Amino acid sequence: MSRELTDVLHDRALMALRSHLRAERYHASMGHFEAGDPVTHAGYEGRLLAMEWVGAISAEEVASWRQRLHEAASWREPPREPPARAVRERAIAHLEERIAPLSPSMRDGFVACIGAIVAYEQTGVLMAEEALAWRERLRARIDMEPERPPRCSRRDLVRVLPGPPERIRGLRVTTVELYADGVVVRWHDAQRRPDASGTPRIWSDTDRQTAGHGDPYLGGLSDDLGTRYIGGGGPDLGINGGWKVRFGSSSFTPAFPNGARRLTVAYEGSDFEIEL
Amino acid sequence: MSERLELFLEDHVDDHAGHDYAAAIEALLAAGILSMERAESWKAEHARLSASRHHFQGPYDEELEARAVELLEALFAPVRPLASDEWDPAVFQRYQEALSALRVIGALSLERARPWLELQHATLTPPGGRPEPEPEPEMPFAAGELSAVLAGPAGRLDGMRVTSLELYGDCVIVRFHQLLPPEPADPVERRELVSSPFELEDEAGTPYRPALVPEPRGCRRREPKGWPEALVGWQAFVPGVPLDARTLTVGWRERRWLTSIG
Repeated sequence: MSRELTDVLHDRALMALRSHLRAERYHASMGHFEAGDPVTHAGYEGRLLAMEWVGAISAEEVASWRQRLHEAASWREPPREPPARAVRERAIAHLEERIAPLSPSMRDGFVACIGAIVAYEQTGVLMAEEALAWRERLRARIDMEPERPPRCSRRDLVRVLPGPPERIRGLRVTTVELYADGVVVRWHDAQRRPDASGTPRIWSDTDRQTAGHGDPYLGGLSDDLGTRYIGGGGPDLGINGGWKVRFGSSSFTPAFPNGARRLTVAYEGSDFEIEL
Repeated sequence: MSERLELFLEDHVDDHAGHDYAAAIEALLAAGILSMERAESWKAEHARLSASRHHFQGPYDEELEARAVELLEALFAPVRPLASDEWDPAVFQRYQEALSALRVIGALSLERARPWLELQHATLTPPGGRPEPEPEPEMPFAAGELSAVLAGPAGRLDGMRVTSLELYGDCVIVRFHQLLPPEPADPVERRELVSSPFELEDEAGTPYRPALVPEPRGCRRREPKGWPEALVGWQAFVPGVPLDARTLTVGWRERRWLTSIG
């Protein structure tokens, strides 16, 4: 076996073992398995034996990883120690420096900034809510929609508007509900989509299982006053096995403002217009 | 912080979470919680692993595959079918994880692994084969042809507002928005508030009946989690509204809403 192949096998084995270690810690922290479960241990032994057998890891590494996997089975998240003041100040200065050059037309450093925020959050330099605030600030800086958009509470219903009668590629807006803190657009999708062979078919169980990824996306909401709506909370589908259609709703914030007269719902390159 | 730091450095070195590892290392250096020497060491490890990731589909070494198969033969020999009295989950798990590890590290191609995967599948198959999946439950309506959407009356009675009625060829869907009072202590009263069914009638006497959907995500009215301030939902009725009907009356507890059909 060539030296190069041995190195590649070794690296892949380490990646696989680290992945197992993460999984074991996760299961332990969630209380999924009991530490010392003989079947789980037999699984460790199978993995380690196979890796050693083909020369991916040494006998010493097997012993070390066996120990680590066993310890991971009873892992608990370490307590959070507040960072030293100087560490925190340096971290915040680093983030400020990283974020400063970013703008809607200069997004190149976005991923690196996220990497820095994640590092500070996971090592305990930033609390989870502080890290979220940094991510939101970063997204706002490059004009990206917030990670946690405000949600329409659907509590104070002000008015219900019937949607227009037309359909766009099978989709019809049935009603628009105006709430004190947002807008909910309800839709009915009677589009028949072809399967891989191009044959029209009805919605199936598979559609239902993958619905989370295949929702009819409304392209966005706008009004005649230029309000900038943000979609928050995806469509809640009412689909079911054997149905030929789907229906659901999409919610937006903020509320429809006083004085506005027209709402426009974008869908697949066309618009539904709803007049008050 | 040191344990968290160690976990972070090792957990992310293979890029499994898709973050920018180099930027993370730079940030930890800048905060002064990672030494330059260790930062360089982890960056080198990251670079090496990143290169290995690009070779995941082979090439496979024949001699290595033969050796892998030799191990699988030895590990599978004591495995007994799940349905037998001699089934030992630990023995099976050891074999299964070894096979998985050999595939993951690239010591065994899918082609050479396939017979072993089939053996594994056969071991877990109950006698007489796997049962056929349950047929899809039959839906009581299709809601395919939407003929009209009627806005519900603006009034709210006992906290309940009918927001709209959707008239389909084979059903009617009543949508509602309910503002709930403070949660009653009495569980019966609580259930009545959130689970009382609607009724539907027209002047032609059509016998509408609630259409329960045999699936948890459908229109069956379920009790909410906790006690929200507002409930938004819907209930379906069959059959569809006949062409000559002119009004629809929605009932809920003692309340009635009259809606004109255009």
